[in-house]
Amino acid sequence: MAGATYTPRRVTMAEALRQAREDAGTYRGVWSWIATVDHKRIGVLYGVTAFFFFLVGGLEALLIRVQLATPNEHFLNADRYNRIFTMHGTTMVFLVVMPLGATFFNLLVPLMIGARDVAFPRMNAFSYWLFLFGGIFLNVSFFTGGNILKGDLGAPDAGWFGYAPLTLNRFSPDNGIDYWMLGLQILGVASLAGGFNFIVTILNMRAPGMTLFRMPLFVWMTLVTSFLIIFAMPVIAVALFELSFDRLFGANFFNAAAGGTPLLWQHMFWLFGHPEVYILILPAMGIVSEVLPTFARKPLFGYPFVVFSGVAIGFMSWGVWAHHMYTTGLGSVANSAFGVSTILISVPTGVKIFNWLATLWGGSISFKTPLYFAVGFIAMFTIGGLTGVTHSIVPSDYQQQDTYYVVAHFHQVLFGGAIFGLFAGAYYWFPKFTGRMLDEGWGKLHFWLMFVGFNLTFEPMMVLGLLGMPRRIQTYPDGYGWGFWNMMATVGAFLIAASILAFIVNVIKSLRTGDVAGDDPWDARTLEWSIPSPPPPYNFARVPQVHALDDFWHRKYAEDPAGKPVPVPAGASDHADDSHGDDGHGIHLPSPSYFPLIAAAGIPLIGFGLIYDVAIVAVGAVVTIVGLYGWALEPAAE
Amino acid sequence: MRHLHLPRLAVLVSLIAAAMLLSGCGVFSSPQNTFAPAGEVARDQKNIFLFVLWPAVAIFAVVEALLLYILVRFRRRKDDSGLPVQTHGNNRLEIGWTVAPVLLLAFFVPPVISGIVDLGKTPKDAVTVDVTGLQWAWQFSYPGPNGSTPVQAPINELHIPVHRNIAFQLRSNDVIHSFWMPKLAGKTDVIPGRVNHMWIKADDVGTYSGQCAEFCGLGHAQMRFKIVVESQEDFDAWLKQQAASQTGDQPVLAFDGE
Repeated sequence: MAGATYTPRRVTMAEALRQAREDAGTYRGVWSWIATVDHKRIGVLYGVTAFFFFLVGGLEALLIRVQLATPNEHFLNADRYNRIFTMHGTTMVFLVVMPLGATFFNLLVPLMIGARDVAFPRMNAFSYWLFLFGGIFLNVSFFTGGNILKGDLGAPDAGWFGYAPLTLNRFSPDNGIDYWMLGLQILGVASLAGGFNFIVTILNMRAPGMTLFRMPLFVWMTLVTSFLIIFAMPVIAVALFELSFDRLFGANFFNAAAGGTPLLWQHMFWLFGHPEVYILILPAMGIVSEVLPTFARKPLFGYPFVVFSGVAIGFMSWGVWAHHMYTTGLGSVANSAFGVSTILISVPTGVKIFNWLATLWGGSISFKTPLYFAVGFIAMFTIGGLTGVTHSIVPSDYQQQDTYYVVAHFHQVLFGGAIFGLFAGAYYWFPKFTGRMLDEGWGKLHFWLMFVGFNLTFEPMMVLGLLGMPRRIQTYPDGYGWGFWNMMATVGAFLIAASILAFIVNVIKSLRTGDVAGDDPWDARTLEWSIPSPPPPYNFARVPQVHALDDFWHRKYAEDPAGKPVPVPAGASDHADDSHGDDGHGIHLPSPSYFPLIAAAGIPLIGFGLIYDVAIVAVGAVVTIVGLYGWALEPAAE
Repeated sequence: MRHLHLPRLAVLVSLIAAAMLLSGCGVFSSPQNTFAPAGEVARDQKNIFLFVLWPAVAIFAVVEALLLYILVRFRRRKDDSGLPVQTHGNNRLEIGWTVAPVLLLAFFVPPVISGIVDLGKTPKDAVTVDVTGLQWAWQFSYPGPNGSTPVQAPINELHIPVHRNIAFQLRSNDVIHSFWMPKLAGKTDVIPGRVNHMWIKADDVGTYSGQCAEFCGLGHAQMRFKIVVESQEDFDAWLKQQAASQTGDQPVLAFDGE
């Protein structure tokens, strides 16, 4: 392939640009995507894949809602129901919200810090492929239960947090749990690779002058999230290894009958699981912190406080895990300590909400779709935060634990929060990466359907929880007073589905006929808007010199003594013309490579091998090692 | 062009609220309603929940109202041409909205801790019941008189005397379950390899419903049980009758997955 013959050298700007254009065409069509190491393309791949899994997870949600719509419903039997709700949770957490965060890290971080790519472009591709294969691996389990056309589903069936000992062979003899534990392990490696990559990128690749406290808030949240990832994923990896030893090799970590400790699983899972919640929500908080200033036309209020509250949340997220375990009998001292720490973690979250409100205060707010979703985030996440405070009230949480009240709470955080925030980002940055605007009319239809549908789905669940409906029950009898609220939730779920259709229509329509965006359609503040839409492969023709927070805004506007912005006349700024010209600096673009794909492809084979036949483990190991050797020995563009 | 859809939202929200209220008074009643407690523990739990819920509702109302106010007042108008003053922050405000929530939340701490301690201490002179969770049923057994063989209740049927403290010892032989009687008390998990404890005290004679709250496999939804609260005399008579009719057979349970 031509990639191997790429000869790196130092070149002039004109040559570099020509070279970059040629490079992008080294592989054509689908091959140019398979071998890509360009963070923007990897971001698009992440986004498309995660959105596909979002549709899968959403379909699972609809099946759950149909089954629960009425009492004594027989739409799904208990076996299918258990598999589907397990896959819904697992999919939404590991295959949707986490990779959607990674989508935005990939698309934006290098552009926001003035870099040409991430620190380790091929490792970035490796992360993506491993995520894709891990997601496929998990979903393949559906087909392992017999004849799927007759409705014999495989797939894990112990819930997304898979409490031992239900996950042990004695209670879950089929392969579903094996797919789950190995699939999460694969996805964990993908996340770890991404986490390290973004930490190094952010710490090492910032443009001159881009000090830490000139970084856009989204980059800060990426940094905090990446640290959480690299510390949290090893914890679940250990738990999953122990489970794997129990299931595959007859160990007894969680087998009480042989002296094991089922609660050990819960401690490890939630020691991972609570930071994980913030891994899911912090990227959305970062997005909202970018969107609000642009549409209020004011800087983020209290930037350092928003940064530090994000960092504080990151640290505190390690001290609240046992609030998932109040009812396990940890004792009064532990429950009190975790109750108080849970109360405290709401403080930095509150600080963020107040700062967002203050950002909007005094602004000149233009009501574009990204702003709708960002405001929807604040409105809905506030409910999620406040219901979270009620969980810190341990005595009453004994009532709410494991009920629909909890289901309502975490959907308010992860849907009302994370998903709304991610859609704000999708509408905001779509023009940057496609060159076309998403349609405002369809966008607002999407928003209102989703906003109403969301509230119709999840607020009744709060009532259901208080009315004593436990989560994860496949059906419920008549006469429990739950039918009305469940029906309402089901109607809401279909409204959400309709809103997603509106989004899909909008994307398809806008890709073809949307308004041409131009470089800076929102009059925005951060560096990615200073370059063309879509950005060229090399991002910045000349690496920008950064002088301030919101540097791009300050190139456009100066402030008069009263704090009113005054447009800077073109050319008046010493760095207004960064994107053109030839100053002879070399441009360095990593060459495409398909070795990350090969290295990643072997790993799920190892997973299949552990389930079916050790010979496949060997094949997978060989494939991965070949990929890694090729990767290591490939001539690098340096 | 003003794209201000907020009034429409307000109308929608109030329509939904009206629909909820009009659709009948039955929608807030349930045999497992935690807001209609029938015992001391559940009542304390409801009260402490309300103690936090009302401030939370107030904060919710203030934040959402402020958000709506800001959106209306600071929306860009047709004749807006300039840009707003670029305020970057205010340290006093920041300290204020960090400290104020801490002070408010500090009020929650003492009742939370005292509630945890109260619920964690099994009262003396309690009637003891051994609870075993299994896939997928509940077994209740009572200490026999003068240390004789424990007395088994029929499967999924718990009898307790009214106005007495009842102490449960919770065990599991298979997976984790969670023992929950929503009108009488919050739940406690039933975990293989350990014994957990909880206690209740029922206000009135009557029948209540309970349910497993921790996902435990195929029959989780069917793992319901009946709580019969009766007078001390009736309870004693029932226990005597059970003791007389013990067969020693362990019931065999099966669940077909439908």
